[in-house]
Amino acid sequence: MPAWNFSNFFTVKESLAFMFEMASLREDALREYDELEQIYTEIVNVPHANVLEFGGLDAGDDCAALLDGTRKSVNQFAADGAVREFDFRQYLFSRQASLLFDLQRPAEVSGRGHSFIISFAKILTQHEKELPFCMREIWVITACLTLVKATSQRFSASIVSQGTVKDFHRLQGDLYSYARTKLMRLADLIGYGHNIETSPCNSAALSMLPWPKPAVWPAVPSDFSLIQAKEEVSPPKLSEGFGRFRRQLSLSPTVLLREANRRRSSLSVGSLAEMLDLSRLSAKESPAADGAGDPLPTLTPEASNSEVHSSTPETLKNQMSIEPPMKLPEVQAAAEHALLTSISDETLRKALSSVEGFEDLFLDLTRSAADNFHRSWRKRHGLVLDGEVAAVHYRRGALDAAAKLYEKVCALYGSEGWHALLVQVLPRLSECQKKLSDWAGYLSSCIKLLSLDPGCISGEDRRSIQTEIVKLAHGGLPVPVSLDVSTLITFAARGGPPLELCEGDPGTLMVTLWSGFPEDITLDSLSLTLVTTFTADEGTRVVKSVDTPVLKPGKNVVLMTLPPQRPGSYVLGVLTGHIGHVILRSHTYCTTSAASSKGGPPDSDDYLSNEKPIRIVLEVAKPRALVEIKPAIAKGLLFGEPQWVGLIIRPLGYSLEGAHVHISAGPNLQFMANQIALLDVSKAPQAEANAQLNTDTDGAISEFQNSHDILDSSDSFNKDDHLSGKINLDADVPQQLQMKDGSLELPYWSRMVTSVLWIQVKADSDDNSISHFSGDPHLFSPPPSPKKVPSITSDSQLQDLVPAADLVSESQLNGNLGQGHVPSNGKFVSRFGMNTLKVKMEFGVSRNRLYERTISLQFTHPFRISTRIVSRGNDGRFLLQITLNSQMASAVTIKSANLVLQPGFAHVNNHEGYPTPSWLLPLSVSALSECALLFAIRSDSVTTKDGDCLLGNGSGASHQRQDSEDLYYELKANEDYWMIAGRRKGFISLSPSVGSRIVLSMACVPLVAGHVHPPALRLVNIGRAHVSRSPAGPHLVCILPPAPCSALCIRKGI
Amino acid sequence: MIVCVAVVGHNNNPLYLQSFVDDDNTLKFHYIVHCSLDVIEEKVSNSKRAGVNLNETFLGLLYPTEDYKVFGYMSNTKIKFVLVTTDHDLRDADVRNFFRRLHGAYVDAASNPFHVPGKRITSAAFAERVSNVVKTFGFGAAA
Repeated sequence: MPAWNFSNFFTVKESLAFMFEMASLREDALREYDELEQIYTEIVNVPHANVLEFGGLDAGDDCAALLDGTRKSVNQFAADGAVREFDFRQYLFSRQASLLFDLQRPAEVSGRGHSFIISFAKILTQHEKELPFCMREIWVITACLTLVKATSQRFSASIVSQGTVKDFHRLQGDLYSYARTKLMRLADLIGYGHNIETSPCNSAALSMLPWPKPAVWPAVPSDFSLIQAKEEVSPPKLSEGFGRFRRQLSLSPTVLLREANRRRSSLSVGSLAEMLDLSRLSAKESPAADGAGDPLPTLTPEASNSEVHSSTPETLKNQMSIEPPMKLPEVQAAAEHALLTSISDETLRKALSSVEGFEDLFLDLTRSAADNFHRSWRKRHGLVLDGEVAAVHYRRGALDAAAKLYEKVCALYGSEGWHALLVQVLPRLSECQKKLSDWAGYLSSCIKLLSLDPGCISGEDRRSIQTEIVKLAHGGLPVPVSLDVSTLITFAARGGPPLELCEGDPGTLMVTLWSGFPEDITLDSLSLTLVTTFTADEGTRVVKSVDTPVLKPGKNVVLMTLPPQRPGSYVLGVLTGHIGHVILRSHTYCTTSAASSKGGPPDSDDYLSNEKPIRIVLEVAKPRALVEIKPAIAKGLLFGEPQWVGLIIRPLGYSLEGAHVHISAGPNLQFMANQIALLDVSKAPQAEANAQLNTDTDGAISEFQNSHDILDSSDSFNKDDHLSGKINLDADVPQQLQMKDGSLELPYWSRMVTSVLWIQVKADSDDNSISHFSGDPHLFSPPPSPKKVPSITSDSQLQDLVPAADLVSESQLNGNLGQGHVPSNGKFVSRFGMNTLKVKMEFGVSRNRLYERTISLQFTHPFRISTRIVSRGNDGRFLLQITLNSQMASAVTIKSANLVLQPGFAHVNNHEGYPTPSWLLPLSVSALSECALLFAIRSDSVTTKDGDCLLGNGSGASHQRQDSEDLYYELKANEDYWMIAGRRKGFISLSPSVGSRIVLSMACVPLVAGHVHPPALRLVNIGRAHVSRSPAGPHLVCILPPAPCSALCIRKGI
Repeated sequence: MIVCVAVVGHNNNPLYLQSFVDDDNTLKFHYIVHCSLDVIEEKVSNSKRAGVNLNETFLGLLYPTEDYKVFGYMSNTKIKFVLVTTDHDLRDADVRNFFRRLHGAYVDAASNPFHVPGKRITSAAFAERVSNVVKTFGFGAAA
């Protein structure tokens, strides 16, 4: 039995696979090949295995044959029991691929192919020294392109699932970008590096990818024109605009020169001289552009020398070598020459033979990769490659296409906050937009540049960008441009509770604003919209800043003028600033986060989060009562005396700062327009209780009661002390205020405090009307004297008149006189007078609010008085009880009382009108209670010459005959009904003195029951009209004398 | 050798990115990490679509390229940790262990009351801890 070798085994397995394939058992055939592959891998990895050489040295081997199983016959690479790895692996894969294609699984070919290419590239790296120059790169490029072409031809998206389609496109994209990377490596090697964008993407792909490491670097071609051509290559001039702060990234892992010289056939490893040629290095590391400004320090030769010395000490040892090392153009020319002669793939050779050809293929690969990535899940891969396409467009001057692609890339980086990557593409975009005169886009890009993370752009550049924006704004813009500066300018309301305003009040809103501009920026105007939260109407109000704001970098505080607003809750909306033709709009508002509270600008990451907490900044309350004025005492004021009237001014959660109070008096009320008023703090619980009682009916007001009380106690007295200048409540109040023309201004401290304004009024005692009290309809002429009746003149000292006694104790109301009026008919008179006081208050922020109220004040006499004769002696003496009904709400002390009598009466015992007993006084009368004084009175003998007491018991007729005038009288009565005792007719004489009286008593006894007409008194020569009988009945008949006649009164049957 | 470690927030915004190679060209790592988010999303959405509840925070190898490897790890708060390494043969357990320690360091950094969630991690203590984790990674692999 022959010894087992792989070649035989392979022959057997493959024949089996062929048979399966012919029987359409392709799955089984595929399994055979899979097994073969596995076994082969095991054999190859066995150390000291009997393997042939690697292969890959034949002509055309650089062109991948991974799908072409017929290029070489199996005999060619399988002999002596072993196979050439290079060919065999490709052959195996081509067989697998063709079976998979037959199985309609092109996606699987793609997947397997991708990993096959990667692993095969690794194998090629291991054998790089044996292989032709750059064979690995060329093989990978051709393999990828072949695979992509074959699979996409056979792939049909309709027969596979969505996921598979995406996965397929992902693989295609991967293959394209793999080929693209290798192409870039080759291009860089032969000196097309200037045409490769130094983007992070390319840098990531290339900088970790080693240079080709052939055993011997290709020799310098004899044609010097090639070298000269390389020497003449200069970086293409690109106008970069803000591109100077793009980072220049290295694309090469190490310096190519060193790599190349180390592998020269002459073994002259890199010397010092070669390192001095820094053209390549500086071309890589200095900006490829205009050289307008180079932020990166260019390495000086000395500096790089020392670096080289320290890093590669072995170079020093080889300094003695004779042959001069290759210069960079030589290296590139050699590489190019070697490549162009060895490449068998026509497309690739064409691409590498000119810069334009390279760019075309590069663009093609990049675009295809991006396209495929877009069709898979990898949008970031796709967009980044779009950026690479855009770079080529940009270099070729197709700015429109470049701008469109750059916009997409910038949007991606910006939305995810990758500012380090964004700063690499945004300047390009801005440059495109500037050249295309897309001013809105250009300004927006500038704003984005300014709002990048600190550190991305230097301060100087930021300042120049700002200058650019301002310059454009003030001229050069054909149309106004609206810019969203949400990432650059953020704003927030001040912390704490929202500003509370009453409906219709103007106000100012403090807004904190963070400016991300590097320098002060002067805005023409600044406005802010306020958005209502819950109302469905239009809902936005625009408020403007107080003055033209200059925004400093960092935190600014701007005051916004609030015109009167409708009721509702408002949140901050959009901030709008104007600079020339540019409108800056900012939508973000941030809460007081940890970052912003520290004073720093809130991170622009804020706009990434969707949850924006709604914070109400302004509450405009519904219309309501804002102040309440009521009298402290409305009742019990005294007629005729100057009275202190207290007006309780109660602010209902509203500041009365600068409020003006106008007071005018109604009729019958005297009010001194210029007087010293007193303002006191209302703290009396009684007054408070009264207020509570009175406002109970008014639900709206009593709602505010509690909050108001709290405000009173805590807010006004504690918090605002520093504003009010610390009122010493004991010393400073009541404060004297000068009232002018009935108006005064409330002091500052009283703006939130319930205060009492005391003013003095005096109600006219309408004594003139007293004469009408009796209301006798038969009285035609005015009475001769208003004082017909005994009147009390009390000089009671009225002290402590006001109920809130402690409040006015200092004012010492000294009511001097209290007067009681005893009506003539002996009945008490209840007499009140309602007077009004008009109070008008102008208050509010601009004194635009008006509160008007008419306050009714009830004036009264201190006492209601009624009299009664309590006891009567036979000697004409009697005791008169005078009942005093206190009308006042406080206790009154009557210190003395004096009863002044009419002539005809006199006080008994000559008491001078003082009550009996005299020790009764002073007498304290409590509020609303009554007391009585007794006076002993007798008829005065002065007017009765005969000595008869006029106040007789009526048992007999009394008459007097005077010289002057006799009066005939006659009493007529129906004798059937009346029995009359006494003289029915006769003469009486009247005394000529005023007020004299005669009492004629006659007893009339009715004889029948029922209603009878009373006896009529007839007086001769006196008209009926002069006789009054009121009320009709056996009571008093009053006869009024004719004009010259003196008065007379007949009193009967008291 | 670990060349780069990155922490990416749940909005795919970079929270922390540190390269551990000498050259100042960190931008390429920004690119690599940023693009690896595609793969992370792909893995997560694929497993979701397949109905597999992804309890595993370790996402495994994201990029099988020729030159470097990218590993991913995602916390249940969608914080992604990305590791870029040039080592060719790594043990899965080592990488897992590395991510667990990195995750722990992140949790501690995020627990700092002065750290604003969603913002870049500027804590020096975190940076030091990460570099410690990176340094000991090699030893862990050797041991």
